[in-house]
Amino acid sequence: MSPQVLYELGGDWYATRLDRGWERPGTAEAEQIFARHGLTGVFWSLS
Amino acid sequence: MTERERDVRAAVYGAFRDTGKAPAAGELAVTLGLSGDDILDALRGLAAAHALVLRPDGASIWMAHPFSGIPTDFLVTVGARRWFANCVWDGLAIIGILGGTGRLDTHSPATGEPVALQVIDGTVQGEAIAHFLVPASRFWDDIGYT
Repeated sequence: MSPQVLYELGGDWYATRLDRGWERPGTAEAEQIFARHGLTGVFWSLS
Repeated sequence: MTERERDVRAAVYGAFRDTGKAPAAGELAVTLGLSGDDILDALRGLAAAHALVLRPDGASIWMAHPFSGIPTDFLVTVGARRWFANCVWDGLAIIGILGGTGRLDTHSPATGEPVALQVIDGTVQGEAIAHFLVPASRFWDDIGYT
């Protein structure tokens, strides 16, 4: 994975982490975040 | 997550953001006006929920992703301030959530060569390829290894 993709994934994954109301993403939401950055398939599946 | 756990989690992240270091339970107790036992209960609840990771002593903070409470080989610099990250993903994420401009210094796990990634306004400069060794479904099997 390129550093640019990883940077963008990190920004998306941690976007609300500093917020008091942060909630751990559920399986579907987490997979959607991965998919937005082209990360799909068995390796990125949480199901 | 209970309201108290939310308060403690927010204080932990605020301390990491502002100081670059994990707050001690005693510091959190003073900040929040709670007892040490209340803080430890909250930290253990947060750890059980994978909202942070405690060190083996069960009382001090190892990780509050993307921040690391212990020195690592992922050093983030934003302006004149520094943080340790848990991995390259987390290092780049710290730069992202703190404004999108900064530098990550680490080493290639394959060759030991220094690797420097500079991020300027969200654009990463520097040569590297990041590998994930553990499938996403198993990230938390051994989070220290992941």
